[in-house]
Amino acid sequence: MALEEQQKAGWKQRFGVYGDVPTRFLMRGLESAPWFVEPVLLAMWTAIIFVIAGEQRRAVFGNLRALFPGWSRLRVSFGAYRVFWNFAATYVDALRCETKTGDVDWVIEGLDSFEKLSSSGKGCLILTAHMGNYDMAAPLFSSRFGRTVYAVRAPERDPELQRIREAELREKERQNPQFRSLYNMDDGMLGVELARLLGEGKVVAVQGDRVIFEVSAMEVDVGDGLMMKLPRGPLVLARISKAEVFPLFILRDGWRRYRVQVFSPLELPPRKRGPGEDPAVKVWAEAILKVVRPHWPQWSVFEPVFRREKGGTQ
Amino acid sequence: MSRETVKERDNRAVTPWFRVCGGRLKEPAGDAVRVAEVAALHRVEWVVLAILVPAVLAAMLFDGLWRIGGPWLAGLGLLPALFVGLQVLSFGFGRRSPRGAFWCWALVLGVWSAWAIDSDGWLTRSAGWVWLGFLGLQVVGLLGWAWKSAMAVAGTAGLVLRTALAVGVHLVMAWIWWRHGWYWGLLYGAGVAGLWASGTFRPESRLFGPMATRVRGRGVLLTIDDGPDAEDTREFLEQLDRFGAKAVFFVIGEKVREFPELAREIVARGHELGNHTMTHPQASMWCAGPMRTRREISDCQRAIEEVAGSAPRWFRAPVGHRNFFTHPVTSELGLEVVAWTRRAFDTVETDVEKMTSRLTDDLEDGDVLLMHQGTPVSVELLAKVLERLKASGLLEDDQVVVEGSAAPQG
Repeated sequence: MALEEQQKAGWKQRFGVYGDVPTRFLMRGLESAPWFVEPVLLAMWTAIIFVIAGEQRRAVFGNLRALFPGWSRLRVSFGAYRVFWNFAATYVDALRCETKTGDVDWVIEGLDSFEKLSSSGKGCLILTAHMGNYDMAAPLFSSRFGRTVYAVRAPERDPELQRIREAELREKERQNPQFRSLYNMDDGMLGVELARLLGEGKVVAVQGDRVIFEVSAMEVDVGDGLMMKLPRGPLVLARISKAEVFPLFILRDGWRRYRVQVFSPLELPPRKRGPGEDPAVKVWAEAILKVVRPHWPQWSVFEPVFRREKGGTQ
Repeated sequence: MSRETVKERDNRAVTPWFRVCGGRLKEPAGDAVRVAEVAALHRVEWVVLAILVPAVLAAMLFDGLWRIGGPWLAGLGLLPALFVGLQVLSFGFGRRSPRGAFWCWALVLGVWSAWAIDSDGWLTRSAGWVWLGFLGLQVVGLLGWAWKSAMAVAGTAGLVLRTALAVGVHLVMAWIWWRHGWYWGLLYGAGVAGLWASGTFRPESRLFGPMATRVRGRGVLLTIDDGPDAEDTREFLEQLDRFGAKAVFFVIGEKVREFPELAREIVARGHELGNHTMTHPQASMWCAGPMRTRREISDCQRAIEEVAGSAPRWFRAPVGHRNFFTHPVTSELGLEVVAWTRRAFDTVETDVEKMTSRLTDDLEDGDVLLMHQGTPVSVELLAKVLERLKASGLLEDDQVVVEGSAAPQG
């Protein structure tokens, strides 16, 4: 009986939002669906997912409401749909590249910083947010970067989907040997591994905006009572390794068109001993917020990150 | 000189109409750009198809549902039916290249449209006509594509084909004249002559073959025609050296033979030589036949190669007037036909300030500037232009990196 329930739960999970079945269906569908039916199907499927994924929808509502307190309920709802739509569009673009049924145009902005990052002999940390798609950018990094980039990613919730992702990554790494992925698993050894890579002069890319699973979080006031929750690990890693931190974001400019925005290295204030949060947290948060705020529809974070304290203003 | 012209790249459209009439590929702006080279990335085509196909399919489903269950079923069932219909058709056609997929959908909707135009409902009838109209545009596109392919045939085969086309066009005119009267024949002849004149006399026209008008990278490209000149060339080279500028000299074969040391000095100072015909027949190049065209271009090519040691890669016609037979010859010799984006009209004017403004106002990276040697004001004009370009930082030649992806076409 227990096994039966487990199997039932397994099937439910597989067909769910994080399951492998929708992904398999989408990959198969994209191999046959022509490019011109994409927008209509995307809008329809996004509407369905938007209704089903209640927890994620509420998280996006909450983030948008905190970011833009002046917005009406209707505007927040429409904004949340746009976040879902953009995520779906990026996901489809990535799958198009993956299945070789399409490709995207790339633009690099901040070439000076990009070249500084690629020519630096020391270990560097790339601070990024959950925008665009790193997997899709792998060929770009391989061709333009000249250094191996280790991208940290969260494992999929569904084991079947995780297997699909790992197979994709193996293929991607075979094609682009200068792009490697590391999974943030439960064993807690990732931090040590990343510190070692940075010590060896490698480039490590971390998403500094998602507090998922059981990772340690920190919360910072980014102004006017807007509280932002961030994972503690990336900043700790930067502090320990003393690596230069380059904010780098991948933005979706339009249909099959992406922009890599690279900024100058962050200047982190000196560490203060004693209780209280590291003064660098604010610099860290602002670097992310600077891009997330104007490009909120592309910020594919479906967990609560922002809240606004009482008395806070817009 | 390492400048490359902006090549006419595939505009990434799939349908014949957009492939031919969909304009050129527009690269996004940025510090560095990587443009995908797969098909089905033409933006306007994507928008048009993304609206048209679901709309016609919706009309088709609406009509079907109405016939089955009346207005209620049609109204309420349309959206779910469209959702299912789009996916069933997508899966039904299976894995296809973008072109194959488009023609499969075009055929299905075309068959329905052919039936729908006789239908009672105005919505069904209109949707049918719209789709048939769109298919009609594809036929026009296919004709354009056939013309473009014919214009790409190089060498003797290209010359023979173009001669046959020229004779064919005249025979058709004679037939129309004879069968339908002189006015129709004249009208047809005037239309053909208009097209021909456009391809011949408009310097940037691509009707008879590819034509480069811009170069890649930062800064402008200076081009100087009609040299080498006994009086001007050395002075030109001094001026260019003084400003650290490089230029392309489109030289005349006869003058290269007459002043070989000047041609060699141009190259020795880091500039480039371009082919500007053997005798510069400015009054008659437009009507030259295939043999004379070949002689003018290949003789000049040989003269430059023998004197300077390397063959030019660019050709410019005298006064910009190519003729119908130019492209097969240039393609055969590996020459690219180059026009300009700015000209001074310095062979007919003398007001240096006015000409400088004409050449340098509101310039953009990649502009190609045309000047001449051997005019009364040529040296003065060059000095002024170089000063302005230096001041505006447009003499630089920092290449913007543009890469093409190697992903295979679907």
